[in-house]
Formats: sequence, structure tokens, C-alpha cells
Amino acid sequence: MNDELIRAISELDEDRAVLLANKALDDGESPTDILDDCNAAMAIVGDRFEKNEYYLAELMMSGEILERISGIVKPRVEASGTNGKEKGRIVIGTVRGDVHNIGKDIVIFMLEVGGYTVYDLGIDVPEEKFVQAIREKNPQMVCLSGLLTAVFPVFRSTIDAIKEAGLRDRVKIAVGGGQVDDKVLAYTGADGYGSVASMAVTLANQWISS
Amino acid sequence: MSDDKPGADAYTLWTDSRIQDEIEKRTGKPPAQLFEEREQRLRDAVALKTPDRVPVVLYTGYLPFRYTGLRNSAAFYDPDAYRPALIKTLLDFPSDCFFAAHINMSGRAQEILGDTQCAWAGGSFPEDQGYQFFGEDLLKEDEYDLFITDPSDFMLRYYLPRRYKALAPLATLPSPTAMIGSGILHSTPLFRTPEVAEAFLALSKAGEEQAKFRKCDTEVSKLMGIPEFMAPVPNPLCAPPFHQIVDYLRGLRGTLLDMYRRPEKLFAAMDSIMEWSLARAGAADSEEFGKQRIMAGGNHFSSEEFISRKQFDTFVWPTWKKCLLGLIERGYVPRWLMEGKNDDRIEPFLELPKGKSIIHFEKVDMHRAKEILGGHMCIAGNVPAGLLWGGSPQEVEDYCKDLIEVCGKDGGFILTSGGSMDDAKPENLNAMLHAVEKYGRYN
Repeated sequence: MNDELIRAISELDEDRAVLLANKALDDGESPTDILDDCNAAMAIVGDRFEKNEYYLAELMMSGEILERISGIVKPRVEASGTNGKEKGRIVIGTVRGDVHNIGKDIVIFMLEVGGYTVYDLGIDVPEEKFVQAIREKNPQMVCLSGLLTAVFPVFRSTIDAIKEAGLRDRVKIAVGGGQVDDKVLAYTGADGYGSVASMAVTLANQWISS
Repeated sequence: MSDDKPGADAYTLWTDSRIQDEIEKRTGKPPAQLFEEREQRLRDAVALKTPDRVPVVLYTGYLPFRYTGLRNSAAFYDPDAYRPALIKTLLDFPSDCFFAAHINMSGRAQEILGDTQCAWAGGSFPEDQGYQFFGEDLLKEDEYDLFITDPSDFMLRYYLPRRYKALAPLATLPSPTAMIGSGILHSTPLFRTPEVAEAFLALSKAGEEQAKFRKCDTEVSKLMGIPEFMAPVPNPLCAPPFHQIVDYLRGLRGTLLDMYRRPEKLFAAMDSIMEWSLARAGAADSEEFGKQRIMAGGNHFSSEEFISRKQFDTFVWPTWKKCLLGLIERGYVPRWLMEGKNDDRIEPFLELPKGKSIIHFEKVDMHRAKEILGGHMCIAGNVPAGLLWGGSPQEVEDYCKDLIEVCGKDGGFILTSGGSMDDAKPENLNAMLHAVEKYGRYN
């Protein structure tokens, strides 16, 4: 573990982090070790986000730093792949009729930092696309995102479509958005809800990890 | 609608005096008198006095369209649809005040201009969505200096060509400052090119379309005796400079990264925007109180969901506070919406002068907000849009009762929703309007 590098990334000292990553390579550190350090730093960032010590700017900055370091290191990794162990698969999308993406994208970032593989279906996603994605990606969890009250019925019709396709028992379903509460949860027939991004990770940890 | 009230179409045939007679028949008062009474209620609430009862505001948004069976897209494609829909909505749900949050925008004009930064219902958005501005990267990360030193050049030759496909040729025009002394004569051949000629033609055609969308809120407000929550002003007249940058120039991602990578540029741009905004605002119309209430933006990207309290204090509040103080000095009563969670950033507003503004909350702990701001500034809020959509009338009444009893204590409170009431059930709106009569009378 390169503590200095981990600290530079997790403290969001961009220039220093890039410098240290270059130096580590020059010193003969293995590219995979450097990527492991990146993961360790991102775990710290995710943890601080959970604790409200970090906010969106910090998530984005850490993502930028990671991208820069990956750009330097990845070419040197001989298609060795990442660490290989998969914590879980999650399908997510903003439902039909709604195009808001910020909340969804924060959730994706946090789930990925949390070690999950996330399949993003994008925005204004029709019911059948969720059904298709469940068949193809075989996720343990599906997240339906939407900000507008007008799309609450679409949460329900999406879940109904998943039921009709006979896939309801294979996945846990979360609905999420700034206006979502337990009333909306009950109406939609989902298994859980989130009104802030971190609730998605809590649900994933409950449903998948345990 | 299954009730026996006339539909919106009926009101296209009604003359103004018939509408006024109808209001007088229902309330026993002529609209002009109602207007004065309602305005007084709002005025008292802002001044932290106790009015005769708690004022209630319809945060209408797309409600007039939804309630009368139209799609949201009508707001952008049917210029004649709004007025009768608004009249029906205001007649059926008589409140003290309304706030038409939807944008007065012609979808056709936008299509002609080829706005790349905006989506709206019936355009690239589904029919029942609203409107969204993206503002991603209209100002590039290395253009802050240009923007600050020569904003008009930036707007004309960079911003407009980037934002509107049809206006791309404006990028070829000379900088306005180049016209000092030499005038425009030597640049006129540029205007002969088919590209530039097309751009001006597009502006003219878009103008034809946009002219059909004349805002009728003020006229309907006077006609029906229901004040507007805020005077119609060009948006964003005086939104927080941080938000003007996030919303219209750099986007959320760009701005948040700038906080780390080039904070000094961001500060300088916010200072300039603050000065320009206040210069544009001029002095308030002191004759008519309602015209002094104006929209001072909101904090949709500076709530707890997005930035820390420290970042709020550093990047958002200093120039926002100067904007608010500047507006108050000029005789305005600024009102802004605290979107999202804001429990940890209420105290800074105590730095504003007493009884001169309206803080409208979406999701805050209202009891605590009253504890902190009570006796200092008027609080508005915050019946959740979700409750108005999915709750029962009893639940809405209970929610309103609590707000009225706690936040309404000793005045300084306006009951309204936390977000636009687009999909509120009629029976829930009635529950909200009845709650102020039932629980909101002072003395």
C-alpha cells in the first residue's frame, strides 16, 4: 500500500496524486498495486461521503483524479483485468416520462464505489427495457429513479411489467427520488425506497451483501 | 372532471365582467376588494405582523394544465390554452395568491432557434414533463477571463452561437468593442453571407412564434383579485450568482470541479454576476407592494444534497447575501426557494434585515426553521407535492394544521406547497385551502 498516494487521492490533491502515481510507476511499483491504492482511496472517499464529510464536488474530483491516474496506469496493465470479485449486479434507470439524471448518477457513483457492478439504462426508460435488462444482466437489484410526482404511476407500471414477465421474485426493487417516501413505496409495490443517494447503498448492502 | 363546474373551454367565451360577477357571486366581494385584502395579508406576513389569517399561496406550476385535462406540452405549444385553464383553476381553488412557476416559452420558437441546452414537454421531453435547462459548458473552463472582462462579447459571439444552432453564424461577427471608432461599415459584408442572413431570419421567425405567448398572469391576477406571489421579471433577475453559473454557464459538474481547480476565477465571475444582476434590477416600483415581491432564485444546487455547509458559506452565501441585501436596499421584497434539504444552512439568513424578505422551504424541519427565523423573516412552505398528489385530504389537513399552529404562531408565515402543485388532487387542494380558514384565523 502506498499510503502517500492513497492520502493524496482521498484528500483530493489532484496534482500531487498524479505526481505520486507517476513516481510510483518510475520506482517500479506494479500497475495493479497502484490501481488497488486507487480503490482504497475511493473507498475512503465513499466513506466520507456517507458521513457527510464529503459532498458531490469531492465525488467528482476523486473521479477526475482516478481517471487521470487510470489513464497513466492502465496502458501498463497487460489486460490483467480488475480484481475480479463481483459484489453484486444492479440495474438502474430513470423511468419513462422522466429525464432527471443527477440523482441517478450520484447513486451509480456510490454503488460503484461500494463495489457493485451497475448497468445504467439511462433516462426516460420504458418498462420493457427494464424487463429486458433483468433477463440479460441477471441483477440482484433494480433501481427505478424519478423526480417528478407524475411518474409515480410509472414506478408501479414498471414493477407490474416485471411481475408479468415472471421476474419479480428474482430481484429486489428500489424506487428513488427526492419526492419519494413510504407512501410512494407502498403505492408502487417496491421493496424499498431512497430519497437520498446513500439509501441505495444501504439497501444494496442489506439485500445483496448479506 | 366529474364535478358540475364549467370546464376551462367555457371560460374562453366568458367576458371579463362575467368572470368578475361570478367571483362576486361566490365570495360576496368584488375582485378589486379581494385583491386589496389578500395583498394586505401577504404584506402583514412579510412584515412579521399578524394578518386576519394565515395567507395561502397556490404554487400553480403546471397545475392549470393538468387540472383542466391538458398535457404539460400545451404550455409550450398552445398559446391560447393557458389563460382559460388558469382562470378555471383560480376560480375553483380560491387562494390568496398564486405563483405560476411554468415558463412562458414557445416550443416552436425554440425549435426554430435550435436551443441545444433546453428541453421541454412536447419537444425532446415527454408530453407531461416540464422544462429543463442544462447549461453544460456554455462557458469553457478557460474562458472565465473573457467572460468577466467583456461579457457582452462573450454572450454575443460565444454563448448564443453555442446555445442555439441557428445562431452559430453570430460567432463570425466582429467583437462589439471593435466597433469603437470604425463603426460597423466595414463589417457589413459579413451580413450578406447566406449563413448570417439565415440566422437573422431565424430570429425574426422565432420572434413571430414567441410573440404569441404573451404572459397573462398579471392581467388575470388583476381581473380575478388574486395577487401574484412575485412580480413578473426576467429570469434570472437576481438568482444567487453561484446558481447562475451552475444553471446557465458551467453546469453542475463544471462548477463543482472549478471549486477545486480554479476557485479564484469562480469567485471573480460570481462578483461580476452579482454586480450585473443588481445593476439590471434598478429600483423597485414603490407604488404597488405586489410589484416589489420578486423571485430571487433558489438554491437547488446548494442544498445539503449537493454541497457542504462550508462550501455554501464559501462559494454561495457571500455573493448571494450581497444580492439579497442589494435588492432589499432597492425596495424589493426578495423571495427564494430553498430546494431540497437545508437544515444545516438556515442561520446565515439571520444576517438579512428583519421583515424584508420571504424564505420558501421545500423540505426543511419547519418547526426548527421557525425557531431560528421566527420574528426575523417570513417563512413560506412546505406542504409536500407528494402529499398533495398521494395523500388523503385528512393527511393534508393535518399537515397544514401543524404548520399553521407552529410556523403561523405570531404571524410571519405563508402556507404553500414545498414544490409546484402540478399533480395535486383537487380534494387535497381544497383541504389545504380550508385549513387556513379552519385553523389559520388570528385572534
